[in-house]
Amino acid sequence: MHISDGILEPQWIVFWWLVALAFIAVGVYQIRKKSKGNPTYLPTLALMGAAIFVISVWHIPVPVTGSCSHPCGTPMSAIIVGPFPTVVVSAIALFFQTFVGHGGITTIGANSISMGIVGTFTGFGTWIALRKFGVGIFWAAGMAGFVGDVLTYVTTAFELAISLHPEEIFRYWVIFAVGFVPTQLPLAIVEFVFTGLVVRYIADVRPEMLKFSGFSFGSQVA
Amino acid sequence: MDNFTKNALIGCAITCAIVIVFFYVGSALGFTDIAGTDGKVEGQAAESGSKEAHATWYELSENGEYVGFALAGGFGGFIVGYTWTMVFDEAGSKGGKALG
Repeated sequence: MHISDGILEPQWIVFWWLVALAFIAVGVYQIRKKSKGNPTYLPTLALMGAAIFVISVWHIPVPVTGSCSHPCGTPMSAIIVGPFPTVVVSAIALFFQTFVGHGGITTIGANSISMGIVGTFTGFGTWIALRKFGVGIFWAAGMAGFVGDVLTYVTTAFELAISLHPEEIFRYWVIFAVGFVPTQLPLAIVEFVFTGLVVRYIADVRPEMLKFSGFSFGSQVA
Repeated sequence: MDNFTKNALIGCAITCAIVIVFFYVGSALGFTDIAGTDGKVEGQAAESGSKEAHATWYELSENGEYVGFALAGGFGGFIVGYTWTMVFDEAGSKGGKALG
């Protein structure tokens, strides 16, 4: 989902930046609020930022397709520290990833929209919805990871299509999305498993950490 | 060391071992030219829109990336290490003073 510099049209660069900044502003406000009187919140948030940086830059080969890609990590972070703060640490991770050839400065807004906002909020929404329906922690968190991962790439395809082919958005959206599918689908399954395992484990040994997001479900035991 | 920390460290060690094994097997089987899907699709999009992607800062060589990642990992590790007890210390998790 890392769109490089030089690809998007200037008006879309500005638009995605403005939308991302609105979410980042809310995120910064929430971080300040949540960290007051809770000394464990900021270090946990920093850990999530580090996890997102590593997870979303770690290319895993899919030999069958002859290519490689990476999971996102933002759904897991949203479940643990909340969705808006995740947008902030995701943007920071995207900035540092430009130093290792992933993404670009002008496209941090667009990349924040796909991974930091769509991936985060759809994953978090899936988690909340499934937990409300009584689905177990592993399956709810796993589905959050899967949905967030897939929709991150669907959004990236949309961003490319709307910027480069405004006259045939839907056609190119499908073309670019299909380009991601063969490699990204197996990795979305990987994201399903590790998100489910990590959240399940935290729920077992440090259930209080799952209250940082602002949503908790009783004892957090499935 | 409590169970959470112990299991987290074991998890890290296992993850590192898997990465190293996959890296070795991939290299031995000649998978070194596997391209990233991001780059592939982006290249396709750029070509269709007559655009050209370019690096933000400068292209690190392959070895440069290893050195960069190692330095970033080390630097990040010290920060995480310094704040480790604030995250995992029992007193810290209850909102008390828990500086390491």
